Amino acid sequence: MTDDEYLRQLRPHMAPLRHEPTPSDVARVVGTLLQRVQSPESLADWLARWLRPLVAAAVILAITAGLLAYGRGLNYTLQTFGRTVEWQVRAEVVNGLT
Amino acid sequence: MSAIPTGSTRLAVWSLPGYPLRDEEQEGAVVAAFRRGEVDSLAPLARLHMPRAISIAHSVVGNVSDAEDLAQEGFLRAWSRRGSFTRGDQFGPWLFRIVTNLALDLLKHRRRVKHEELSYEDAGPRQDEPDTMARSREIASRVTEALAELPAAQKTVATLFLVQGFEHAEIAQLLSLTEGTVRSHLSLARRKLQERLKELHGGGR
Repeated sequence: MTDDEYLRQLRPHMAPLRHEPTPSDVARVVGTLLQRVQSPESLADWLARWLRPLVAAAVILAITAGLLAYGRGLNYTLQTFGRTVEWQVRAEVVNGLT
Repeated sequence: MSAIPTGSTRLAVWSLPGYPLRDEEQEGAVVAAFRRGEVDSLAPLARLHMPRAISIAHSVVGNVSDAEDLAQEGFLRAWSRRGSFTRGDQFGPWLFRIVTNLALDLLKHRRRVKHEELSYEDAGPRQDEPDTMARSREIASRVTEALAELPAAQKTVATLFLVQGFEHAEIAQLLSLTEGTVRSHLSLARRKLQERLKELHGGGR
């Protein structure tokens, strides 16, 4: 027997576990839903709607700026370190010659 | 009753309590109004799809209160994202997918899969019911126990298949999976279920 056939024959036994909301339950939920959709937007909702994307954009900008600054700093450090090493090598070469 | 209003006609009459959607053509016109953002289109769509939305959410989260909240939240989410609804798509599956995703998110947050399982109100055979019903309850009870032991993804797929009666393609659409993955989950679930039910059938099958 395939998986499909096996599971299909269990369906009639499992059907009673399916939750069927009563018409009054549905009416209550639909009523609340319509109330929520039709109610005027509160100040908090309005602020949340506008501030959320603004805050998200600000966070992204801050992270980008941070990464760029870190990159520049790293670059500067590496360059400085490179120059220092170069000077040391030159100095050692010069010292070796003298 | 007059002909179905189409185009940009307002849908006030459809929001009357108990106004049924007669057929797909009529639902199509209401869905078009929904896409245009006409609030009046919500009532008939909600009355049509809310029972199934609640039932699907219940299959995933396992309790009525959360299921009702999730179905309602799903409609609100659908309303706020109505612009992303593609013309020609079916509204029901689109909504059910939103509700299923919300339900799965809730499960992830609460990690209550183990605590709230689908169950008969009082599991186990009752004295007054015929043998076939008692047997059916016993099978359902064992299947439910077996489902509870499955990983969340397998459990969700198997529950949608067994309890909601969805087909592979429908489950794949609801959960954003491929049909192959759905079949694979069902195959693994079957093994577990078969083990559990072997005892019931006296080691048969």
